[in-house]
Amino acid sequence: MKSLAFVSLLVVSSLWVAGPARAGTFFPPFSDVSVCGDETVAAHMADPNSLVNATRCDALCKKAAGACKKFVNRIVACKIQHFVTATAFFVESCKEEATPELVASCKVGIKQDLADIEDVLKGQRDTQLLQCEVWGVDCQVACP
Amino acid sequence: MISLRWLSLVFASSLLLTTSGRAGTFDSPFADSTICGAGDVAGSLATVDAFVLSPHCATLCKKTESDCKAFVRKIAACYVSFFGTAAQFALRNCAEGSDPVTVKACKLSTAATLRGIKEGIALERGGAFADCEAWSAACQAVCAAP
Repeated sequence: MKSLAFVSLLVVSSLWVAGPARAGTFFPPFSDVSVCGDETVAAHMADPNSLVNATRCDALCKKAAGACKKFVNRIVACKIQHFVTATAFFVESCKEEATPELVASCKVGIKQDLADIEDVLKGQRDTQLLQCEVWGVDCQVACP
Repeated sequence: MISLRWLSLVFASSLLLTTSGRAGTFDSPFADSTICGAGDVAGSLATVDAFVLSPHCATLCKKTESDCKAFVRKIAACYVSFFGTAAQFALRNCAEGSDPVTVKACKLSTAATLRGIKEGIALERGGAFADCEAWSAACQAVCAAP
C-alpha cells in the first residue's frame, strides 16, 4: 500500500508534468515514476519478530534495518533521476519555442519545480529511513 | 506496469529463496521484491509519436532509448541486490541447522538458486533493453522525413 505522502507526490508530479507553463512542442516521454519502485521498504518486510528464533537475532535485526535503508536510498535516487530526466526533456522542448522571449518564458520555474519535487522526495526518503530504524528496534526488542 | 515475464521471475524467485533455506529457523525478512519497481520501462513511456512535432524528433527518440536503458539498468541492479540480500539471510539460516550434511546441502541449494535468479534477471534486463530499442525504432519511424 502506498502512503498518503507518496500519493500526494504522484499528484503533484502529474500536475507538474501537465502544467500550463510548459509551452514547448512536446512532453517528456518519462512520466511514470512508479517504474522506480516503492520506497516504503519497511512496510514490505516480514514482521519484526521474524528473526526471533535466530541465534544471532540482534545482529540480524541490525543487518536487516541496514539493508532496508540501502533499498530506500536506491529507490529514491532512481525517482530523483526520473524527474531530472523528465526536466531535461522539458528544457529541450522549451528550446523549440519560436522566439527567445518564449524560450525564456517556457523555462521559468522548471528548475524550481524540480527542486520542489526533490525536496518532497528527500522528505519521503527520510521518513522511510526512519521506518527502517523503527523496524530494526522492534526486531531487537522481540529478540530473546 | 510490470511485465508478465518480470512478474513470473519475481514470483519464481521468491518461492525458490523461501524454500531452499530450510535447515534453520527463520526466513529472510526480505520477500517482496516488487519494491524494486517495474522492469518494463519501455511500457511506461509515452506513445511513440511523442516527438513528431519536433525538428529534433529522431535525436529525442534516441535520447529516450538511452535513458530508458539507464532506468532498466538501475531497476535490474536493485533486483540483483534484493535477492543477494535475501540469499545472505537464507545462508545465515542454513548455518543454524544442527546436521552438517543438511547445512551444507542448504547452502549449496541457496547459492545455486541465487545463481539462477541472477541469470533470470540478466535475461529480463536484455529483454527490457530490446523493448527500449523497439520503442526508439518505432519513434524514429514516425518522425517526419528530414
